[in-house]
Amino acid sequence: MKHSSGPEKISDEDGLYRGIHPLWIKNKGITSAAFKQRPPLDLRSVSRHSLDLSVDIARLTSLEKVLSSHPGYGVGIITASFFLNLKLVVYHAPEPCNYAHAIVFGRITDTMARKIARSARLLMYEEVFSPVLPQSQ
Amino acid sequence: MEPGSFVIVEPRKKTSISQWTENFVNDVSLHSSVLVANVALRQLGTLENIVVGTFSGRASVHSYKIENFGLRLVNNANNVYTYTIPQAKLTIENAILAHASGQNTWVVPTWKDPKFVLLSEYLTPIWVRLKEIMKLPSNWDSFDAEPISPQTVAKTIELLIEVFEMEYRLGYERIIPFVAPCSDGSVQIEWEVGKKELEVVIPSSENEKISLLRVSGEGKEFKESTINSPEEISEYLSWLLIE
Repeated sequence: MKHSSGPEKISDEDGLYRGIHPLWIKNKGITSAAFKQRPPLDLRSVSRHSLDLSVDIARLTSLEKVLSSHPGYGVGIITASFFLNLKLVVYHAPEPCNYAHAIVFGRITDTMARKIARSARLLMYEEVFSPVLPQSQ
Repeated sequence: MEPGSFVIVEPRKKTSISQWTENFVNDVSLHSSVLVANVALRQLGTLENIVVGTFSGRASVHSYKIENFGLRLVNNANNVYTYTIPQAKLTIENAILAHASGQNTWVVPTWKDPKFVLLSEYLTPIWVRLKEIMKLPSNWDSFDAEPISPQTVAKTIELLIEVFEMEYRLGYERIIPFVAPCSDGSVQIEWEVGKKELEVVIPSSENEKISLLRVSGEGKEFKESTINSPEEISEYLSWLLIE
């Protein structure tokens, strides 16, 4: 995959992937705990709420790559517009080993985390890449 | 059973090494936290529910087994549980003293009281999950997460016992909540009753308050609040269970 020289602009329609730990999967959905990211140390005493949340930009990676990077994890898919409507900022923050990495920046309250969790679509590796079994005659 | 009499713990055979917890240091630490928090003694404080046991044997062969909410000692040398019940009248006061007196003496809740049986049934599925949560290492979420401390788990259990007490007192069906770790080392508890939901976050830091989120109105109405201690959960449970 070819990459541009600098950070890329994220559009409203961009899909964002968030890795979902197995303990965050609830009734085939996602608990809001998955979106209550820890704040930086210097803000820890001020607020438990997040100021940044790591995601991957869907068009810069592949679902298979994300799902296979952490066996047993799921992936939550959220559109960038959902975060933007919550007055959060989304920006591309490529890392040496992950060009697709992006940051959702801003204070995520418990209410916002709950809304994000309900809007996210959970995908598991087995659902997406399960082998097609030959039909019995 | 007469108040003040002793509970006899039948010696039991150890059947397999796989029974033993892999991470007994954390488990024992948690149980100590629970007992120090006085949960077992305060909430289940009838004498019938408490055994004071003194372990006899060499320290090098001690093992610990967690059975639901009881901590039991075993002597590996002869593969049987060994308890010596003190020849003194058992009171809550000397139970606490015995617990504090040394590493070979433990206070062990047992399962004689129907209420304790219910509590055990209520907590066991949550306990299984909490043990899993407590074993999470640093960076368990791949986003630089903090591990969940036994103290935070103990606070979680304390709040759950408050919830159990209220549901028991009011005769409500006990609803097993969903429990999840948060990246900052806190623990989230979630209940869904009809169209209402309650999320509670037990913080990892003692300086932070317990935060709550009430969700109603087909998932469109939200109300955030905080409480200082598990005892204050009753108002929110009333909202969830009664109103």
